Amino acid sequence: MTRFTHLHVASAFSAHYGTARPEELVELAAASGAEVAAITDRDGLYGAIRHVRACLAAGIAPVVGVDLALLPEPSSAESGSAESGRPGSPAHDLSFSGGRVTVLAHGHNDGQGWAALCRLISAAHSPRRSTGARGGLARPSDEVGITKKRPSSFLLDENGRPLGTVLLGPDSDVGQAVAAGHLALARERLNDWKKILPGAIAIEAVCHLTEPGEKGSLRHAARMLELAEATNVPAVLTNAARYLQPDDALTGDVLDSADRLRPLGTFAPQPNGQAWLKSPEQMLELAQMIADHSSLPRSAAERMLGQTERLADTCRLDKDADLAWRKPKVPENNIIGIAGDPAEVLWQRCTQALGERYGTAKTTELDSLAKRLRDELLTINRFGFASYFLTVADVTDMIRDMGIRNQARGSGAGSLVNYLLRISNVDPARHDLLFERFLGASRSTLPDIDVDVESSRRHEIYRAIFDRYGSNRVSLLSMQNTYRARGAARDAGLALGLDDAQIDLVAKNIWRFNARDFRQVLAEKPELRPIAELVESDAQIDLLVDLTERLDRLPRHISMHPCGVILGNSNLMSYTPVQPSGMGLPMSQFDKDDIDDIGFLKLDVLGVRMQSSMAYALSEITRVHGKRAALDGGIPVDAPYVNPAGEIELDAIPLDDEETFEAIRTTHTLGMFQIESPGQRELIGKMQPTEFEDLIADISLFRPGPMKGNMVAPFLDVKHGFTSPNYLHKRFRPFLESTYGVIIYHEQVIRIFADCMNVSLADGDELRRRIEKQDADVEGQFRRKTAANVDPGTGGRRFTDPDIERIWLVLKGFGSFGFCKAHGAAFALPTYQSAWLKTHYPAPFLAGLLTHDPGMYPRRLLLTEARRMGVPILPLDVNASTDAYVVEKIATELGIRLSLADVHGMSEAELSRILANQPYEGIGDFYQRAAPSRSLLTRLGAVGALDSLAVKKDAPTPTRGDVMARVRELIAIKKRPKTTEANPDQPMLFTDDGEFIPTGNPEQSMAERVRAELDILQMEVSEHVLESYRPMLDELGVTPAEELLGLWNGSTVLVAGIRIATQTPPMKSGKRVVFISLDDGTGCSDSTFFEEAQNRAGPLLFGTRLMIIQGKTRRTGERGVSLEAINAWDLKALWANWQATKVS
Amino acid sequence: MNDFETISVELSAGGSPLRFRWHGVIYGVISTPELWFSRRNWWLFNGRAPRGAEGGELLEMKMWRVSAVPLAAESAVDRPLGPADHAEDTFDLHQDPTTGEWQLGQNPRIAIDERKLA
Repeated sequence: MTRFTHLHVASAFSAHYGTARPEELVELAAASGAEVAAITDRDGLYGAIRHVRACLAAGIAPVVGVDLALLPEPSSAESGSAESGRPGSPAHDLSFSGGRVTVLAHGHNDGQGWAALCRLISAAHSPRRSTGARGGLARPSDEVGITKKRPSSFLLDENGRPLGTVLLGPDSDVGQAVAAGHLALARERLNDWKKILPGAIAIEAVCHLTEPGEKGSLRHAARMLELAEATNVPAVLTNAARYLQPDDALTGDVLDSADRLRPLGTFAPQPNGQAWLKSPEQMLELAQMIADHSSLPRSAAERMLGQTERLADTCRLDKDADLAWRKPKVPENNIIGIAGDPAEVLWQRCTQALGERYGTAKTTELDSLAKRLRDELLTINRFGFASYFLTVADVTDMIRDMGIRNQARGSGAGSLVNYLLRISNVDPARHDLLFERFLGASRSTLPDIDVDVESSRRHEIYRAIFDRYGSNRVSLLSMQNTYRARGAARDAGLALGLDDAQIDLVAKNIWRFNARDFRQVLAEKPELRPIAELVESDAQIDLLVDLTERLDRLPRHISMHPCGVILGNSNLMSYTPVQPSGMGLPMSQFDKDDIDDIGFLKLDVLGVRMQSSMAYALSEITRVHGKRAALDGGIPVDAPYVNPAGEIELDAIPLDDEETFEAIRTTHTLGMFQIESPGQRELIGKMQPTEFEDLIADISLFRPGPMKGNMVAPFLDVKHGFTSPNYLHKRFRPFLESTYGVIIYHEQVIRIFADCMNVSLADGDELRRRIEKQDADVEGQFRRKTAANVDPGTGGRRFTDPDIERIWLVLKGFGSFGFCKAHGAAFALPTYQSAWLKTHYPAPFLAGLLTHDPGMYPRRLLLTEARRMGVPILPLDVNASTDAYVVEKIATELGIRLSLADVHGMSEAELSRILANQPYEGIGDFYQRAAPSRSLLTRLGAVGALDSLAVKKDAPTPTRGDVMARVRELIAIKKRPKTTEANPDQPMLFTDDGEFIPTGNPEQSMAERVRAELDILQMEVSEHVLESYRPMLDELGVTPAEELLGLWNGSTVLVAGIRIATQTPPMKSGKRVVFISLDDGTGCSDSTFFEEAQNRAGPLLFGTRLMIIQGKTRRTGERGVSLEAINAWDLKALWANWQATKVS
Repeated sequence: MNDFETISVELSAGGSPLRFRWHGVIYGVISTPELWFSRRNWWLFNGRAPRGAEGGELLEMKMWRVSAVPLAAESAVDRPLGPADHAEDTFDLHQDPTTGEWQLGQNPRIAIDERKLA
């Protein structure tokens, strides 16, 4: 087979340009006999790691480069170059306004070429010195690029030897001059390049067979080849490929449209569709055609092809020498503050911490802990990961020192080392969590340790990490956003020039399926029938479906990963290019799938709103209760986790607080982390957890697999004493007891394998992974080794054949449903902590929830919960409210003052002016100094935020109508006095004691108040919205949600309320079931709509907010009740009818 | 570019145009025909464009750029050729992939382009 290497290939990771994934391109290259394959994405190395991985898998050598914009030199620097334009010269009317070049890294130079490429790309993305723009904001991508002089400092080593090659193709300054017929200018520009980058340039001939004379035409390529020959610069042939096969050209057109944000036909499109990855034979033919069209002998074609392959060979990357493939690159010891051998330091720190964390443990326990620690450290050191653990500990120490709550999540909680280093706060010994599940024997890349932190302070942590380790060692992780059905339909619609209404009609109705299957789904789903009809009648919509399918899953743009931070050594920037992220800090061009291969330490620092809520609650407890914190919270005054200042160490609270479990069992779990959803409420009602282990099981069971597999029922039956546990084998009792004999956790599967087959836990984990992948070999191995497992004392078999049969059946069935217990335990901790706070400190806890909004429900439901718990809600008041929900003491009670932050339509500036100028003397004073807009003033008045300002000494309390009259007076004044900017130190300009509030205006009705509150605050404050309909509800005999539990099973009732959740979970039967939860102020009712009820309810099912539902009660457990819906009505429509009958 | 006129074309053994008849005049190709690909606004054709179809053919048109001179008028109805008619001219010939019909398109920019890369 003929060899030809494509040196200029854009993958789909050239967003809005390439159409094929790197893997597909490599596969085709390898299939056509390539020894080398290159990737040169636009503006970065976004697809490079995938490309290298695919090349290694295919057994061919990877080449990596980049296609970069070539920017014109800033005008001042232009003098002296050919561009300056001597009057009359061709250059005068042909100054270079920008183009593109390709840069390839040379290989087999110990990574110097790769480093040069990375750093050049980073430079192309960073503000240029001459412009001096350093604002931290990402610049528009059209400014990404290099000037002609830029590459020299990167691409030549200290001895002037090239580390890369710049391909001067049709879009380069040279190629443009050739295309324009200015051969002398082309020569001048080429000479500049030769001077700037001696030995590091090549002419790139591209022949796309465009219209004769145009860029990319046969003639253009021929002139380029002639120029190279005449100037002694090597010429290479590429196809500047951007797609895999000719068919992709259409996709290319659509991507061009998306890139320009303009419909097809309104911009100059690609000249034709020749830029696919042509076969070696086709490329050889092209080479010959080019030579034939030139003035050169035919041998010029051979020479060009030879030079192409030589350059390809020069650029072959060595995975070890050049990329340090899969080799960990972690911060240097001195950076994480350790001296000497990291393994030694880790051992010392852990041993010391063992005494602190387990100070009260018995000697036997300590012995087994010490043995476990030794085993973990042995594994860690065998992989050489000690400095990794110390680095993560260094980061979590830093986060803790910043006073920010953090909690490790995931399998990392299974490690004693993590617990001792305080990376995790879940005791792995107490909950029987296994290290082997976290770091097995076969792992060779760095394990993942994820840390949850307060969401509101996440960026603060990122900045601190950059400060601590230096920006040469740290980068944020990026992620690739790819086309999904909706976005694909929108961009395809844009390309076709459809009007927005048509695009909306399609885009709004397509989700929950792959765009790739659009046409197939159209035929299947009844709810898409209107679109299917449109497709039949409208050819443009028909075409839209095809184009949408074409765009599916192509990368659209890169953005900051929500939580990933990369930590490396001082050489990090030689391994990854970086570019500015949305928050200004640099982010790597690699995404999470690249990290293992390039050997970076990735720390997931994930912002969790619940952690912010809890941190806020804790600070409110300290502020409001102070030294009385323990007493007021109903906990022992000598509790060791509360200090004299009233600060609570939440990570040290006891995990067996009966009051907390009782509160959980009531199923009033609103605001408790992860157990507040309708489904979880039902499960909690059935399970009635009594201990922390139950919470771990609850969280682990509440997933589609175990719920469908009905693992819940046997668990509950044993827990509630209806049946006795079945431990499969008496040997399993110690580790199956906590889940009543039901296998829920990976850790239990691992232990069963290890115990049966007499293998290590690490091997057990390996076997577990294999049965999850349906590896058929496991069964034979299991049966053989388990049968061979004999008791050395008696010489008898430990497991009989029937035992083996029974155990295998269960392993096979349940093995793939299992959940990592360490995950569950790490999740259960904030669940318990939030429940504890809600139980002992309801007002501060609810204030935290209202401020940070961590849950799935709207804020208005939190107010309902506050009312239910007897926590007064204090109205908005421009003098008392802040930008958070603040706990206020009123007499002996604690109330929550509403926050100004949630007033609809208030700008940041208005909010900060209001806060900075507090307090206010009157409404006029407020209007002048806080300077709200007229409409904001009106809105604040309507929800009572100005009421307190209207109260004057010795005058009757004005009505809300009086307040609004004053507001109207103020906003009627054409021009208000000029305001000064907020300055709290400045004395008030005038006092407003004399403000006259109009009198005699009627009081706002309760219904008006509630409506205003819902409009302006999106939550009703004065009373529950349902109260407006009370007379009708009473007449109908509607049952309050809180009374449902007391009814007989199977009673037919009516419930009313405002919709708070609608769910359509996947069902085993495949039939759709709709769950609707209503809140009526006394609690939540959960109704299940099966097919018949769905038909009756019809359009009410998804749209209506206020509803009445008729249903039959169904007891699901001691504290669990739900309704099987019979019918549903629109409450407002009923109300209108009811009122009409009352009038007549 | 979409205003093509149907013509008849005589091909070489290698498949490139040798002679063609246009407006009753037979033209002879005098230099190596240059193959190139033009493009079309495929989205205006009211057709489908499913993935994996021959999207390239939908988008592209195979063109032959030829230099040709008039050889003879075909019939007595046509006027005799004058000296000016013997001037060399440039033509783009295109065969419709579906109908197999040959078409001729005169690109107004041809003359300018010719000068550019001369």
